[in-house]
Amino acid sequence: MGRLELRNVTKRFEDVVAVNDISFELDDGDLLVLVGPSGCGKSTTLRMIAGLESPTEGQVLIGDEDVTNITPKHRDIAMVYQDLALYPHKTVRENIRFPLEMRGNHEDDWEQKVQEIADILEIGDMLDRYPSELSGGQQQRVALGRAIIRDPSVFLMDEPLSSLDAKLRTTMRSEILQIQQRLDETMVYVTHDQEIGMTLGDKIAVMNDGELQQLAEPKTIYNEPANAFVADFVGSPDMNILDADIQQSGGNVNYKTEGFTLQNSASTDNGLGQKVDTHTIRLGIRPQNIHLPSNITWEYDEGQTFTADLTLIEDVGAVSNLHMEVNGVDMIAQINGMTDLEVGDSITLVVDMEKLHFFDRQTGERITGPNVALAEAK
Amino acid sequence: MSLWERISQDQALMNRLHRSVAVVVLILVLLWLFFPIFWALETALKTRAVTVQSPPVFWGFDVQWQNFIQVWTETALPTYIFNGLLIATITTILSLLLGVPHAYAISMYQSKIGDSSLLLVTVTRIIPPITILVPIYFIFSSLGLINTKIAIIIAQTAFLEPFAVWIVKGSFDGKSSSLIDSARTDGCTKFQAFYKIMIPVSLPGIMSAATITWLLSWTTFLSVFLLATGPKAQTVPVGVFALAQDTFTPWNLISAAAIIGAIPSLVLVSVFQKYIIRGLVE
Repeated sequence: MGRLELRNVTKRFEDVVAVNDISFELDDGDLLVLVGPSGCGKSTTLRMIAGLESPTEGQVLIGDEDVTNITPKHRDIAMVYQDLALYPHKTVRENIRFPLEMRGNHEDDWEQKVQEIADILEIGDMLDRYPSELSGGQQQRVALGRAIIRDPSVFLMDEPLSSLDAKLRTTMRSEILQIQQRLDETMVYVTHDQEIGMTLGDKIAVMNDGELQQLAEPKTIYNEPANAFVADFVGSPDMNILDADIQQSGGNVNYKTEGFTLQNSASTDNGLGQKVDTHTIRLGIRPQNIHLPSNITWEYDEGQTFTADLTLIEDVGAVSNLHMEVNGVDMIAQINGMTDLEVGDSITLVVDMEKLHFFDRQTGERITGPNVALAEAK
Repeated sequence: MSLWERISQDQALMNRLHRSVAVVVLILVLLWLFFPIFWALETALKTRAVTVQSPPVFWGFDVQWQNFIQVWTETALPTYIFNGLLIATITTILSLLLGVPHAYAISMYQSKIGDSSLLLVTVTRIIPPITILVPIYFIFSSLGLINTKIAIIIAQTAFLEPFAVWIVKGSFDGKSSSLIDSARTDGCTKFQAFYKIMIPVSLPGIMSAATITWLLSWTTFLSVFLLATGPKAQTVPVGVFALAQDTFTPWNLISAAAIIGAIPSLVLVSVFQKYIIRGLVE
């Protein structure tokens, strides 16, 4: 009922290709987060699902019905907008019941339904106020109520939280999740905030330049990013991505970057040496996988370390981001808790060799991932 | 340090100085603006003999209140006012009926036709009406519509509709496009979104356009002067002007007529003044 499918959907605006050949399927009740930087085509994709834009090529199917050329009015969708788009000349009550009015339902049902939904959203006693009299969070709920009352097959959200302050955003984020789970409706949530994507969705679709980079569960996106773009985009702070040459010496494999060289000993072999055709790659190391020697319980040797000068320390409370420079190359490491280290200190860091990511130097595509099985054996 | 340097460093003193200068300038400007009105009022209350006295007389004359009654009963002034009310109101309604959807189309839809239309609208506003005087006369003459209110209404609507479009478009442009999108995903057709959401939300801008269009129509001289040859179609500006055509110019009666003729617009302005200001600012 709430199935959503996009088949080879492309959108061209004159010379510009905003969305290029996107296909995916969602089952009833799935929550898909569509993430990507500004201008990547995610909002355009959402608008094509809503019917506000028509695809240049391809099809949109909602619940097995081809709705590609059907107007938004006749699609079983509801949408919440970035600026909420509440009708300023209508009261909260009138705003929420507007979709029912347009549907032409019986007037008797309206009052009850509106009150029900307003109570669930905790705005039940504000029904006679105007949007301008409400706080940001309350307005957000009105927008949600207006969408919920349509009881659609698919909910569409276009960055609905970006106009809220950070604290409110976190609260509303979990509320939206609760509502989605409670109603068990299919939802497509567009955002540029990858953190929301990671915490909110059953599935994440990462887009860039109009193309779908990867669609998978958050865990997969994080641990096995399909290319350098996804690896860099998801995860905070950004993954350290360096050009590296692979050299074989004896039984070991060396990854030589501009700043330092890492060595795989026999016990931590990710099998890369045999698989890759080219000896120049891009190496990805997440800040969370770079450690201070004092924080490590496993054995390592010198080949898995490098020395750098600290340039900046960000104490974020639960974690600290150490910005450093090694031979002209900037890196970031993230450690738990706070630190006594100071800017200018020269420190040695250990890299978790099993959590390395490898990408093709030319295409950015992932070559092979971290050896998760071996890591679990630790 | 010179006196001026010392003064200009004292912020509070400078503020007082600025304010005083502003007040003086304001008073001078108000005097400049209101003097003609004051003079007209004075003139309306004089006998004709007093009006032509040189040097001019400002006080100490016999006040002739009956001038107002005389000009009302002995000239076509009531007709001029009635014509003006009819023409201005119908012109405004037509300009809005055409102009609001027009502005919506230009504002909401990016298209080449929209751009061309906007260009035409702008050009119409810039062209001095006097340049197309002759062709307009010939058009209406060949239609046999000289000295009819219809002709004036059509001519004025042609000029004022672009004006209304300009103001209303400014109002629409300021509204977020997601309002219309939201209406559509809530179940409206494009047209329903237009009249159920966009128009109510833009009502202040539309009222602005209506008020200004009405005033422009009421006070317009050229189109009426061109197309109306007698009281049947003449409005206040032209009618009052016509009173001065006699060899014997009754300045006192003309002034009285002008004062009376200004009353409808004064009423409108006082009722709708916030819309006027808003429309001029946008």
